[in-house]
Amino acid sequence: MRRFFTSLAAFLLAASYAFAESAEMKLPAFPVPALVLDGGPPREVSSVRLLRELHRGGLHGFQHFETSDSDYALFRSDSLGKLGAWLESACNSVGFDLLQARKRNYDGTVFARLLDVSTSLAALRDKRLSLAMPVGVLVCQRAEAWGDLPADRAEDAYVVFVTEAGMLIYDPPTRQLTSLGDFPNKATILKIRF
Amino acid sequence: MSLPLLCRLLACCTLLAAWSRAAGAGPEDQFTRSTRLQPNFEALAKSALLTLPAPPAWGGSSAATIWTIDEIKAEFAKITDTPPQVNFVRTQFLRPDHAWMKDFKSWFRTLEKPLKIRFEDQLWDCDNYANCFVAFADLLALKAGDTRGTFCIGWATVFYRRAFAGIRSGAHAVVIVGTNQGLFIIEPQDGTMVALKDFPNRDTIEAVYF
Repeated sequence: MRRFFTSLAAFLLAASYAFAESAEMKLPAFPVPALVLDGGPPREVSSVRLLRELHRGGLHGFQHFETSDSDYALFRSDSLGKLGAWLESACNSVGFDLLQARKRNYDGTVFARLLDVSTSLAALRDKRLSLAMPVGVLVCQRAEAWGDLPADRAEDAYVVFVTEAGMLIYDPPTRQLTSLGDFPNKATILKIRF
Repeated sequence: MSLPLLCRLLACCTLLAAWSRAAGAGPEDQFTRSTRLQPNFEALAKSALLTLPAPPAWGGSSAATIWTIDEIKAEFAKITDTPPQVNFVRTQFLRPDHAWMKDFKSWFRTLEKPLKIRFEDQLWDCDNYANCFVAFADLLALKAGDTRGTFCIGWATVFYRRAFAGIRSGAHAVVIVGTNQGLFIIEPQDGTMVALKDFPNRDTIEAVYF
């Protein structure tokens, strides 16, 4: 039953984009992220704590880590489904099938950025929030296979979320999602940027 | 030892092992390399669509070329006395037609009201502005079926010694775009666009992030 309603919702969303076809650009409303709270306000995570998360995930002495802000919010891991749905719907709204994206040239940084921007814009509408959104990009060499992705040593980019469950790595076209600790290409990560 | 006692002992050991595994499992253990994210379309369907003004057509796809990070570094070295440190996550970028970029910049300015963009330290500062700028450019390229990669748009930290676009002095950040006419600086607060060679603080750009 739940699957039926999910499919129906996805169909109605896609149909609304089709009917809304005009010169104007239609996008799904930016996804308001569900954040981990500290009693009342959102829990703050410093860039130093992000480094600690890398250690927790098994990346020690990693030099290629960049942050552009000093304090970040923390996503609730059970809310990532909404972000995934937004990304697929936003791509649908411009006629791009994200699930088929790896059949052509694929650049994961594009989709990590879209998620970063959409959650930041959603948070910007909420005047109580002033923390940077914990969405980053991870670039690595595919030395090991990960689900549908082969071990072909090609360079690839994924989305990184920081959640109460640690850093999670997400590949939008395959919907694969894993903890940094269980990410098979941990040893060949070239860069992580938030 | 009697058989029932041995069975009970074995059952206790099994239970104890299962309990210790469960107690040792952290929240991250629910995400393994075989996990797939289930998109929550129902949550999304509750919100209204966002309508934005008509964007410029991505007619420049034939004029757009690929620029490598080494070419970008060489351009900085040619134009500035002290080339900045260039940080990057990709090694090649889509360099759009200059006329398209100007149209796109004007269109992007019209988004500020419907998107309710306002400066907010950390949550919405120069890097977010640059990211938003490139995210919408990327969306338009996807809309046109161009999947050659991300646009040559980044941001830079600059120490202002000379006034530019209303900013007098001190540390500031600007957007950097590469078009088929070279590198350009965009002031995020008012949209002023100038060629890097004409930017008065080009020699005090500290770091660039693509």
